[in-house]
Amino acid sequence: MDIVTILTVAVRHAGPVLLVAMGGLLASRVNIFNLALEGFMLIGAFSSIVGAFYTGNVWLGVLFGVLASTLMIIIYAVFIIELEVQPVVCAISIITLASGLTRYLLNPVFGVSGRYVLSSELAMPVVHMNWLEAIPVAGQILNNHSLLVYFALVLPFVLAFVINKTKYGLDIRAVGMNEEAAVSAGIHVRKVKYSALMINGILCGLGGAELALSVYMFNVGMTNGRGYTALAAITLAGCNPLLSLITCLLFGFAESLVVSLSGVGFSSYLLGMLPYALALVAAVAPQVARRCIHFIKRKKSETEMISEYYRN
Amino acid sequence: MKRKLKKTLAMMLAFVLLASAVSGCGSKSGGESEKHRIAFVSYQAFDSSEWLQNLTKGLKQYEEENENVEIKCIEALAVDQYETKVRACCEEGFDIIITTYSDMADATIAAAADYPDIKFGILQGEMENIADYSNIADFHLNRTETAFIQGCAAALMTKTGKVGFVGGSDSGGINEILAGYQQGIAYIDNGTEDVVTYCNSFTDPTIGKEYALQLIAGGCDVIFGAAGGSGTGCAQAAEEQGVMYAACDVHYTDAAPNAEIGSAMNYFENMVIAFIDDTIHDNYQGGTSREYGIAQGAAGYEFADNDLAPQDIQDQVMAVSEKIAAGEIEIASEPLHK
Repeated sequence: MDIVTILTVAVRHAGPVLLVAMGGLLASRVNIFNLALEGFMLIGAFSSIVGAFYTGNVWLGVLFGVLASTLMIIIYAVFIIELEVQPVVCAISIITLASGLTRYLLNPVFGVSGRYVLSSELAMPVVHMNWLEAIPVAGQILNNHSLLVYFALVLPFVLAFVINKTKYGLDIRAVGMNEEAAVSAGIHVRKVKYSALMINGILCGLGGAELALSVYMFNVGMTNGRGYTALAAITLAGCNPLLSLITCLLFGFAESLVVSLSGVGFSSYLLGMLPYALALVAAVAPQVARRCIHFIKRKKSETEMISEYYRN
Repeated sequence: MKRKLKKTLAMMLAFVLLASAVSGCGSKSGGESEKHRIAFVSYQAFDSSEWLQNLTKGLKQYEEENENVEIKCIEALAVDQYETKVRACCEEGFDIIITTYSDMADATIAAAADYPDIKFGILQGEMENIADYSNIADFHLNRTETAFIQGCAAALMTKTGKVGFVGGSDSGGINEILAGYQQGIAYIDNGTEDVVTYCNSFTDPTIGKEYALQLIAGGCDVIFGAAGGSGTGCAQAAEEQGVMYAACDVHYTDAAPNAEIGSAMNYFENMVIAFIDDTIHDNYQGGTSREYGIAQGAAGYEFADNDLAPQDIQDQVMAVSEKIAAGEIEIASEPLHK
């Protein structure tokens, strides 16, 4: 497989993860460590298939997925904000509930177990842009993705703007840094937390819908750890939207690389390790680089000082 | 307000607990000495896959047909539940307890040691030192036979001379299927090449689809998926790209109505029922491992309900199936290459 295909697949893979990661990032920014991203994504994936099945329209399916996942996150929010339940404990129950509920509901809704495949007319359409063809490599990589993938690619920039340049972003940062100080500054903390979580829910729903509708089927547990990957990506990036974009794309690239390297004799154990090894490198590399730069700078200033001293 | 809400929630929780306790009591039945009480403990949820659904359906039917049998199906979905639930079954007074997969082997061994009078069976236990345990019988499905037939079908159907394999994981069970598949291809001996990949997941159709697309781009025109839910993605890729799909365990005609050649079907229910039947008719063989295959009705090859495979190929393939059932073909369980 050539590099263009690898990168195209990487972008396709990163899309849903990116959407979910951006949601989790907002929650993290208001000091809620949302471990349940996986659960909300799964709910979104399942509901989008149900919605598409009943309405016969992909976009209504997406809407349905978003609504269900938002509804779920409101329940989560009520528990952790009003009832002061430990977010991680609540998250675990949400994940359990999501995996059990989606598995169970397959039977009453579709009358099947394990999986349900929609007709191929209900697949998420891909957007083909003629003008992109003119650009040699990047054009090919960025062409023929679904609308939600493009939205995912633009989203980090929007979020970076919102968080850093708007009043709402300031509120979010204030709540995240010091809640009490935010209260005394007259910020409606509860409202900010609810709104951030609701956006998180919407994005998880979109991520799930993209995942499920791009293959127009639901399979039990089909998110397969993507919620955790998203969480890892934003944690690696220190909750910075633009850095998260890079880490998500890195994860997508690693997955895609594994696919392209399979079938030519590499051990599948080694290949399975690759994304995590890459993540580890990505986590450690900036620190190492920073240390190196620091070291070099210190050496330089020391020699400068010494030479200065002798000159005098 | 907050307090009231907490109180209500606490009361609701208490009510749910009470209700579950009451319903638990209800299922206890009076002890008739003639009746065989059998517990089937699954490590996967019954509604999570088709084979388990078929299995529970089969067991229920068997229970209805035989008055002296009572079967209870129980889920133990986490490692910490395995031993607790198996022991609970022992305490409940079940005579025969069937556990599932090597995952539950340790729990079964631990419980069996304390209850020597109960007959234990483990489905796909893959236990190495089974002879050490006189009240555990391991019974497992022979997947190599149907995979062998699938290999024959793939080799006969391919036009490019290159076929692919997508496994759910690089592990014993999947590699047995791979072994059968590769030997089936070699048996036809028409120069067909095979490419092996593992997608490292049984529940991810998205990644399964990417693996299949990669194989198809590499010139494979038959994809054999032994990857559960990930296989659905492979089937979809085959359908969209106009190549063929070889299925495993169940039919994948929902995802590949025109692309599926056929499926290496497994009938777990027949195997479990055969085991129960043997056991209640005093033919229990503790400390041994038994294999069920085509000859015992626990596996079989079925062509998909479409016109993909021409009649002469179907005949050829079914002839191989008969040969295997008659024990004329020896199949090794080690893959030729990975």
